[in-house]
Amino acid sequence: MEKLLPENIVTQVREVFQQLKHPVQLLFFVSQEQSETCEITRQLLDEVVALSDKLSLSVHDLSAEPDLAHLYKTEGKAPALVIAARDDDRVTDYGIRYLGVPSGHEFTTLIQDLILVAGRDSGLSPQVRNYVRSLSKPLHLEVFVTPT
Amino acid sequence: MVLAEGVGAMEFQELSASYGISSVPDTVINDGAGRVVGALPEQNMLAELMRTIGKKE
Repeated sequence: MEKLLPENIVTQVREVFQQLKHPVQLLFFVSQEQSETCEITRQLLDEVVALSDKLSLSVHDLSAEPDLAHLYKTEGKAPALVIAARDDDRVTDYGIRYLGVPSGHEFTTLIQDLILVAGRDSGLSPQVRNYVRSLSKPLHLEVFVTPT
Repeated sequence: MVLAEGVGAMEFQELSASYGISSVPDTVINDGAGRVVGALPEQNMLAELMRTIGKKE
């Protein structure tokens, strides 16, 4: 199959991935209904994960693994990517998701997310950290984006 | 816990339409309780979070 990532991007990403500090687990949720966008995203993720031994990818069908989808709050959402930390066999979910095809501008966002999770540091200001820590109820943020 | 989703508006058109998304980035807080339109600094996001869910809980 023809590669999605051109050679110059592969070189750049490989270099940026030198910064990846700790392992990252990508859990990718797909569905039959969204097979076309899931297939493209799957290929893109395969190519990205191949660029660093710190990255692992697992693929899950929403209807075949409803319990896992429930656990990761991806029910009814595909393509959905969970960007989690992995330490040995332990996966830690930071609640970070990308829903859709991470192409164009959003490819950069994906790479940045991988670096953040690998560093185990949000990069947020102390003020925001303290505020979020003080919350007693779940907080749901949906950031709508387009590739252009 | 914080659930932070980047959502491709093209792929999730129904969801986008339900919030009336017309430009991006557009951040929806707690299913529509709050909203930050545009790429604003962290402090603006914090201010909107405080306005939406309170200063301290």
